[in-house]
Amino acid sequence: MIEIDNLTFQYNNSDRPALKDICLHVEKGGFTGIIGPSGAGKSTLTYCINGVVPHYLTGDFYGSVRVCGLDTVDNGCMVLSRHVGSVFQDPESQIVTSVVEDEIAFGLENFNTPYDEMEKRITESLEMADISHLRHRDTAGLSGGQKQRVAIATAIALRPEVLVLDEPTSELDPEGSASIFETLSRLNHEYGMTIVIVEQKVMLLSKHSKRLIVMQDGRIVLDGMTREVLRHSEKLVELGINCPRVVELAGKLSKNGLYQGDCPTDVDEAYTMVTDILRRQK
Amino acid sequence: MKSLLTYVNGESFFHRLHPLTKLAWAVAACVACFASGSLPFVAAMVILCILIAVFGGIFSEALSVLKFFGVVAAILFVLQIVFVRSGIVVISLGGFSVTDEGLLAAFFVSLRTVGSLAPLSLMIMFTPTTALSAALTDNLRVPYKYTFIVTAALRFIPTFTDEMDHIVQAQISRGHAIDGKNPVKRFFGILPMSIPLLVSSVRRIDQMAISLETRGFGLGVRSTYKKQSFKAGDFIALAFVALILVLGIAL
Repeated sequence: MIEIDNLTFQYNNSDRPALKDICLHVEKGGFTGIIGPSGAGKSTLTYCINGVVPHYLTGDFYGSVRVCGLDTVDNGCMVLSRHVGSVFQDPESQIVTSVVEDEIAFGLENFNTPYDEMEKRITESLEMADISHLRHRDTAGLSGGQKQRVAIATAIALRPEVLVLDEPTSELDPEGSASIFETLSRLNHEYGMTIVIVEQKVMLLSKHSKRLIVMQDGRIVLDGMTREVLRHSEKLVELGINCPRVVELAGKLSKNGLYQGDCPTDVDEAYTMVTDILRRQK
Repeated sequence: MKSLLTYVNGESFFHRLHPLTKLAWAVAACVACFASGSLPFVAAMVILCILIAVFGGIFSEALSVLKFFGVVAAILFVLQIVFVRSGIVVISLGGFSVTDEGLLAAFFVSLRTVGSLAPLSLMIMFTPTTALSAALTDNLRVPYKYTFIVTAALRFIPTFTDEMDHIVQAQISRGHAIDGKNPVKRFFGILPMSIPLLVSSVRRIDQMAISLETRGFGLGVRSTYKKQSFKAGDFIALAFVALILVLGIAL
């Protein structure tokens, strides 16, 4: 679905590359999380997938990026937008119309979707993002979290094969963030939508993502199944990633030879891990 | 902060009219107010606007716009009184006098200002911008790119006023004095803050351009979600608009 080979990219007016020698293959139906300290190139990587780099944000581009079989250098954002849905960090600047339903219709109109189909998709994507009650609201009066939900609904409505999200829950409360992840999981399972998401909430992310990528200084430093990657908790702490406490605990326990199993991702799993160790100690 | 000049959601008769009918009314009322030489006619137009706002259920929102026009009208009123010197002196205060012609001209100019600007603002408050741009594109064949500029501009008014509020509050909290009585001082107090506003606006617009690109803006043929057709109410309203235009020019 996404094939990135030896990608190095340096923005114009920058003295060092934002991405260095990235190799990343994402299969269809994948749910890939990207974490890393700020300035690691996470956002730039998402821009490379939806074609914003190198078409809108320009610079020196080496290597190749193919998304849904389309080379992103030969095909502009507009062509790619038929396949890739994007949700950006700042919800305010992604909203282009004044009313929520118009905002969702905007993308559909651009793709020349017939009226009945539009009506159906608007209703459906509003439901999925859990904002049906906001349908006729003025976009200017929404809270940051509500705007993020609108941005997500807008992307979902286009039914892309790949959905790229850059910190889509930054302005949502824990409960709201969890429900967004539930929605993404549903899209992933039911529609086989390939999801690539940059997220700071590692705990929540690792509960849903199948694969986890850790970036630092423009490079991919860890890449693997979520639980595999979480085993390197020391490395994550060293990178300054807000590592879940349970992961840190499991890391310390396995360092002392007390635990060898899979890394827990929530409190319940950690509880089982600890009680197992205690039982064996007896 | 609730910004002026945004769409106010509602289900009234005026909300349901075709966007072009409302646009025709706004243009006709503006022309009529300027063409007419009759004070009662212009006053009637202003009252008509107020009635429309009341029956459209947007009176409280319209009131804040009216306040703004009131200030503009008041300034024009004073200027007319000061500068029109012909006619019989009605009030005399020291060396300053007010003439009857001056008063008449003052009433005329201020009512004309309100009467010609208010319909346009009401139209914006009654019409979702997307519906207006769809109507302009579908019925008047205005290229979508141009109507989109209008949609986007109106969409960003509240964003920018919010942003300005944040900047002003941040500066006030650091002890920058801008809330004085003196309007000149206020102006020079606010002026430096337009630079951060400009910078953040440019950044916002850049981001929005990226968002547009990734949502297929400009792909070619596009469909419209809010397509409206002219109904009986529109023809009645248009007949009324024509009447206003004729009366305005005749009187």
